[in-house]
Amino acid sequence: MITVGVDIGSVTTKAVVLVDGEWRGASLLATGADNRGSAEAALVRALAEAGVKREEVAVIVATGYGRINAPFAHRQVTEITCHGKGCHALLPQTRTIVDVGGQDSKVIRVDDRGRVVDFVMNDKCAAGTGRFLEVMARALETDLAGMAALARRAGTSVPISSTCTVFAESEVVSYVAQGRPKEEIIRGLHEAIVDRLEAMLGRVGVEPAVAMTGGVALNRAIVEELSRRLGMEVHVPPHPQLVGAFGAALIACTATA
Amino acid sequence: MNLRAYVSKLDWQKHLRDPRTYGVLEILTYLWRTGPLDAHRKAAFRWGLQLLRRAYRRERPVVWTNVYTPPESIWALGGLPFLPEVAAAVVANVGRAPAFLQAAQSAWYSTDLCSFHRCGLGLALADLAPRPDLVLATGHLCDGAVKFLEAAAEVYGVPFYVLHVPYGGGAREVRWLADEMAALAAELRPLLRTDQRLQARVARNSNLARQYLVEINRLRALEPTPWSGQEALTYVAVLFMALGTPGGALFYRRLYRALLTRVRLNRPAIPRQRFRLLWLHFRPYYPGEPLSWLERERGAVVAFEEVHNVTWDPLDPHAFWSGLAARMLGNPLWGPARRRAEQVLRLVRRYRIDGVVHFAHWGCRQSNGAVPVLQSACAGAGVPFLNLEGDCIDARNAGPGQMRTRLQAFLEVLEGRKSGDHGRR
Amino acid sequence: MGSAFVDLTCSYVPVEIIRAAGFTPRRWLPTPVGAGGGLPQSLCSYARACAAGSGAAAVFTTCCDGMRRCYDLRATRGDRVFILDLPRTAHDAAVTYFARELQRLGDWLAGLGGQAVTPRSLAAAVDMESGRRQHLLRRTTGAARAAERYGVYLESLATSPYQATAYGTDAAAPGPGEGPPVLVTGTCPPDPGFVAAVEESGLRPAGLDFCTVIRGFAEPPLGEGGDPWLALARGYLAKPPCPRTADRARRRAYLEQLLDETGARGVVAYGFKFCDHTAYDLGLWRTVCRHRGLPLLYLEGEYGAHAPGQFLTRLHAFREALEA
Repeated sequence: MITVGVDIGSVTTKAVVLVDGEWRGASLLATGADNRGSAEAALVRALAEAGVKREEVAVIVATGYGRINAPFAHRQVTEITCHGKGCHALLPQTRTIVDVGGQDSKVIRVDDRGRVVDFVMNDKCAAGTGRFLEVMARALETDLAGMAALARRAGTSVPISSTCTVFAESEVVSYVAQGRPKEEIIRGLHEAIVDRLEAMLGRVGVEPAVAMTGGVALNRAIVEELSRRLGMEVHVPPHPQLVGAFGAALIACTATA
Repeated sequence: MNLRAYVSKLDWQKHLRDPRTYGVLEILTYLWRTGPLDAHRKAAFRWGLQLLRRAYRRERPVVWTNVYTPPESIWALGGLPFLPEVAAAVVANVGRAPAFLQAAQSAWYSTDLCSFHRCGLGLALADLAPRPDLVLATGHLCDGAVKFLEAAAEVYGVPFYVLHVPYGGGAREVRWLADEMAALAAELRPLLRTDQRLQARVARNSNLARQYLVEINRLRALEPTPWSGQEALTYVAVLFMALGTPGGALFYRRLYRALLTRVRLNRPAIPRQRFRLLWLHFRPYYPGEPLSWLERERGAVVAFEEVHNVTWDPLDPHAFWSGLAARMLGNPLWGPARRRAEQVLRLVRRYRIDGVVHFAHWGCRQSNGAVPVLQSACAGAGVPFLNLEGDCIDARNAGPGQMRTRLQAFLEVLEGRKSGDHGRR
Repeated sequence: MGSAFVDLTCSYVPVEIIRAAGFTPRRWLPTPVGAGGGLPQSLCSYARACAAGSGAAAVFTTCCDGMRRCYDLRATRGDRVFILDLPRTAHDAAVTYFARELQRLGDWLAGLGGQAVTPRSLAAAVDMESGRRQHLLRRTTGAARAAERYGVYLESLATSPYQATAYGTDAAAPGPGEGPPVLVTGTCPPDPGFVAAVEESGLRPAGLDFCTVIRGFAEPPLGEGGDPWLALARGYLAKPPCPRTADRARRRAYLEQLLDETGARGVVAYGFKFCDHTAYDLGLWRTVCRHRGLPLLYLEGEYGAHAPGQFLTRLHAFREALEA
């Protein structure tokens, strides 16, 4: 049986193809201004990688903010449930998931079957999201890829607002004007993101094991800082950006049973 | 005659302030045919029109006040209570809130403040609402209400009174508050007069309404529940304004009969009821609000909402002010948050609730600040809890897609608990 | 001192009662928590910071919804906290009510292991605090800059809140580079950073209307005989009204007096985001300033945040406008 999960996020669209529950193909591309078009493109690409024809697919589940823009999907399930399912399947010991995407962040608690028990989301402001890092990278004239390395190099950090991206950017500009080293500022930014995540974790409660998903999970400096704050390892599954789509594809499997 | 052209040329503001507008609309309501299932709506609508007509005609002194102030207190003083917070909800419902919110913002009122209050201030600045003769704020439930009413009184240049509502609920506090209310009544004597007969009449109407409300709440505990939360949270305005009046009692009597009829005919307002929710705080009042979708399309009915819980005893006309004082102090939404949490858990049990939704209205510090306590209490009892961020009045302040995502995810949690997996097709 | 601290989160908590019970009162200005603390982020940053707790017992008041919820959260955690119900007006019934609340506070402190509060111990505490006030006034009069003076006030709060004459202003001493005198108003900045930013921009803070400075001053008339609890209640409710007070006329009179005494040519208002009382008070400030033809600058920040570049730009522009 072949199932597909399509995760249409505000920044990227992802698709994962499963054949009898096994990962066979995947795709990731920028969503852009055409949700429907990018959903279709992601599906086509993932199917091509899997070597599967569209008519062979039994069920497609769409998730993410743009899930209503996937007319080819048989079901729509929220990204909260999909991340819970997907991450738990990849790391069965997971009970708390921190997902930080381009424009939102969420903390999800799951039970031993990957079912969501509680969740909290931030998608109203950029603080604590990938967008926060993008804005700051621009202000510091650096790139996202290099930020983690710079942060890990800093011996100390500067305090930066964790509640508002606009305040934070203003503080960054002030620090730059004061001549503070870029590494310290970047480390401060990472700590501000983790402050935010820690607050969200506090609201939902932390139950080990903790895993991190989403694009920002590729930033080792954030993962290490979060691990340090929680006093426990934060696991990152392979392909953290694709966890939502994977979870959707898994849910598609149960939908046909 | 081109009706559209005529309507577009109307001076809406002038007509809104003209009591004859409401008189005409009241007459037109006789054309509204209703049956046993919706007679209560007509009763509420007519009562609202009568209130506005009387307020704009200044038949009685108009007293601006905040929600949760017992309206009986003002009716018994011979006044006419007008609640700008309720007016804000009505304005939002017809999609007109942004203009008044903008007016408040232009007058330097921060957009971080509660939009009920900002919209009310906007109405005051536009001088569209019935002008108050005085403004009375009670110190519960929130700071914002006291401050916004103080500002509104300044806009109109009318006297402002604040009634401190003690934080504790003991007998001594009840006596103190009752004495304060009596003293205030005496101070307001030149403008507002009360007497035993009026108090007795108001008490009688209030008690009659209460009696029906208790029965209504009992019916709502049935499965399926006969009423919709979306409608219940609309008519919460009757609770805040009409208690103590014959119209208020009439509304609840008709509502009770409507729900009884629904139960007898097995025709609940929401036909498919997959989940029973308990709703905390108010709901969005602008068009396109999510509750309709939640109940009618997803089958997640709001079986009950905390605001309608009857927590007060019938009024004794011989101890009028004490009775009202006891009601205010006994309101679980006032005082420490644990009182509210205890009520939530009682309601969860009574109404066999699957999940609790707290609507985190932007700018409402007293309610949103209680969420950690509420969340912890629900978690301790194993009850799923969703804190849904939004705005009751300002549609621009709430992303509908974001709200639906959260609600849908919450329903997936509830579904998972009910069925044990993520569901079959 | 040697006695245990009791943290106070509001200037309406009479320090005399704390001292009379054998504890050391401390106006608590905790470390800012940013996004954390346990309370929703749409609450004032000071309230969220107070949710953390210092380990000492703490007295809250019903001064605002945020602080009430902070108290609730800490109470559910089992912290040793007390909430004092604070009236919004100062009429006789409010004074009577508040007096009973103060007695309840005294009983709670005794239950914490403190001494029973008696009229004699209260009178002694008033004398002590009065002495500390005089000492504080002497210290701050000598300070050259407003930021330095504010630092002295904060230092005194960390061990014991100060007192000074009601409606008294902290007299501005000549500082380096005198600029246009301004009145700075706000709530409780935990460090002199904001005041220093005002000075760095070339303005001269001629008065500081914070609840950690002028508005914290109360002078309970305990020497006049009668019920000491009533006297204490009356004295505190009569102190300089804060934005929470529901007596606009009294608050306005106080603002006008401040402006008269300081000779301020402008007002710098500093509010914490999500502080509703400050937000509504702004309307009153605007009315007063418009009536007097004074310019008003409103800056919104967070408890404990350092003045960012945006603030300095606005302060500089404000000075330029005043000097034009």
